[in-house]
Amino acid sequence: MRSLLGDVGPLSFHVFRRNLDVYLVTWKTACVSLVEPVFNFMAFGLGLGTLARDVRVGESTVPYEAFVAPGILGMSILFQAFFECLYGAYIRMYYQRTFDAITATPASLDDVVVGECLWGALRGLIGCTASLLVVMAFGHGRTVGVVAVPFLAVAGGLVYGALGLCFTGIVKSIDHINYPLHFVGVPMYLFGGLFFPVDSMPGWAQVLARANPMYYLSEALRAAFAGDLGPRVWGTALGLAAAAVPLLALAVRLMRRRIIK
Amino acid sequence: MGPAIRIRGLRKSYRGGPPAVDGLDLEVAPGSCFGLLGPNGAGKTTTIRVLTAASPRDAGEVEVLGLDPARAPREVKARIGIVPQMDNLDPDFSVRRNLVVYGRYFGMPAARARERAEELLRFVRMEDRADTAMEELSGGLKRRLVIARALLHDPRLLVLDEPTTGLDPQSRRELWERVRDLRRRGVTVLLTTHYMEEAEALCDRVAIVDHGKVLVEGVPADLVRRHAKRDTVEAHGVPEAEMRALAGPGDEVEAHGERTSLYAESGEEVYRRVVEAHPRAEAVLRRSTLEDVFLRLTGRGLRE
Repeated sequence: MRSLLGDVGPLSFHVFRRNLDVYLVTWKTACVSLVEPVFNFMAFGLGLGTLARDVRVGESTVPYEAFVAPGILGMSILFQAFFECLYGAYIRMYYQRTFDAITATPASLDDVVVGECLWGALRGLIGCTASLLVVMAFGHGRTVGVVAVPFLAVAGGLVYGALGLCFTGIVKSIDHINYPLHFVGVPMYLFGGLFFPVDSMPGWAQVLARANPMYYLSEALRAAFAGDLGPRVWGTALGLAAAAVPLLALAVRLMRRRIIK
Repeated sequence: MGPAIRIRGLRKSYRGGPPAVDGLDLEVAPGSCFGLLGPNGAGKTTTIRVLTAASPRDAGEVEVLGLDPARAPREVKARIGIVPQMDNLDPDFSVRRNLVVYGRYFGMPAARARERAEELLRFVRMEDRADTAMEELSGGLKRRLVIARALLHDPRLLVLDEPTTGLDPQSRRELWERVRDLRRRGVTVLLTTHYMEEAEALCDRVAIVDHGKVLVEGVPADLVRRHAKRDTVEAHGVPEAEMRALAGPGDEVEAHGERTSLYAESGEEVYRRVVEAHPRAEAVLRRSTLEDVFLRLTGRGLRE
């Protein structure tokens, strides 16, 4: 099938499934990253929350702990998906030669890239779900709005997965992964409205924040936590999923340029 | 039935570099074992990459089992098995799981893949290792598993890129047996190797490639006869001029450093003369081999 994403077909699902199977085999070590939201919430919500002022969200004012709870989810989505498609994919591509093994079958490289991105999205969903359970245990997000959270997690996971794969397509070596990780990943989460409202930043930074998908994701997560199931939440889920398509198309091109010689 | 592989005037260079393959022609008959030989950088791996739809070509015609890999990559890859130079098994899966998961990319249902996995593990004599983890497999066992994996979908053509590099002599011979079995079953085999005795032992025909072109192609024994005669006399410490003086009509002499080689249809007579004239020189008489042909045609200088 020729499409915007390249020569992609149903075999991309088997690439996704292979990664899921590895995750299930190695679940004991893979699950360790899921304790992270516990620490994150303890540090940012319970710890920092004792010092921080209440935050104004839309019409109402909420305690900092309630403000940051959905932020913990956004952080998990970003890091699980981005890291998986950056570090994890690089290891599969370069050290394990998994991409070579798969492209020796009827699967195309484009199938591999798309399958990797789908897998990154599931990692985002798994991380987000773990975080959701943690913050719900502390009494946050117990509204009907949380039904939208998995959709936001998958849509956000696709964006960060595709972005991660773009960098996997261009980084020179595994050590160079530090550049996208620290110059792209870290600012995206620190200045994406997860820990403090974007409108408290200077004007130029607010403009910059508008280009950060996390800005939209954190707003939508917060709205969902407030019980909003309106167009803002669903529109963001759709918008992020749509934004993932050109990013993934770019990742496919960059990976082709890297691998097909 | 047409040839399993047909290549005409293949040209390929990497990103504006010098040509890696420069007008290569090749034809492999179905059901035969064909050896692609050549020094490092000769263009063997590039040729294989083009055949297996891993790389695009710049020019030339390529047909694999009647299909053009550039136009029908998925169809070509569904019909061929590929054993790469470097193992790329899934390190987190057991032996059996490696096969079953790989079968999915060929559209094999899980039950069928498990059945095939059992058959193939018997074929490569690893049936008692089905549940073994990758880190417990030796290099030889990994190779055998990669071969089993390449055979999952019952390909009509198997491409082996340096399959025995790094294996001990036992594993190598074991692998040769499997290749012979496959040939008996009618599978076409294309292999590259740096071991000339391997090519002589396995291949019906070989091509020696250098600088991206085929230098010679034919039945190994014929190539030896044509390019290195029947016998080789190798002498250490006999100058080239004296060797030429001792040579019979039609014999060919080559010097490389302190060593001189003489190729003769019948070497006994010359060998006797060399030993009589130079009793202190180290001289040996032996049958010529494909390695002699290889070195005569591609030179003895280091490539890399």
